[in-house]
Amino acid sequence: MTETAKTAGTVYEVGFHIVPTVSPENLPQEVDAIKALLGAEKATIISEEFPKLRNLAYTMIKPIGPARHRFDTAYFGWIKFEGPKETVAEFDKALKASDKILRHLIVKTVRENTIYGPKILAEEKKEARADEPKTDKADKKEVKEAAPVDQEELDKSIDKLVA
Amino acid sequence: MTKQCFFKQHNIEHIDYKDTEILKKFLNPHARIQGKKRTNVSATNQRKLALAIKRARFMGLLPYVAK
Repeated sequence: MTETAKTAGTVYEVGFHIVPTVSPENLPQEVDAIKALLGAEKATIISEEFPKLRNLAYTMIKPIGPARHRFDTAYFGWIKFEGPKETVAEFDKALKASDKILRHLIVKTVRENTIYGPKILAEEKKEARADEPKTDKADKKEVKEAAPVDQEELDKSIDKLVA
Repeated sequence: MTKQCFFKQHNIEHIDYKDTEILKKFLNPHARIQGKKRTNVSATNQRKLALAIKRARFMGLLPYVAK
């Protein structure tokens, strides 16, 4: 395998925050603009997630024109793509120059899905449920079964005492 | 009995910075990265984990500090 073939197969991922001042109706246009940049660099898109508004862990500052803007929320999305490394440098420059992109990160990744969090957490919850209710139900049944016997015995003992 | 590496148990080869639900498991209440003695993660995966957490912090998905 030649070096060019190796680099052409490298999978990258760009994660980006779009500023929250963009209205939800105009979001697809912003995403298309990013994709157009990738298309211009002859990169092929593998998978993507449409940007969603989310709270940031800390306030980010972005200088737009003369003013420094502070943002606590942003639309976070990502695109996985494949292309030679030269495309990445140009793409990075283009994203930096954009006023609509608060912050971005390009990393090397793999073609397959890499998010396991929801799946693992769901499995852990299932296991926890499987362990807990059995003991709870068993305890409750025991209590329910024991209660009527106690009442009958009590009634009998009271009758005896009265008689 | 020694505890196995979390990522090897779940067959995770690539630790993604966007997977914050998993990354949060390895932070302490101050949002600092836990040491390898505490996480029981293999040395290779501990390095990958630290990098993923640092990337998530840069992207504002995880905090640098928490009170």
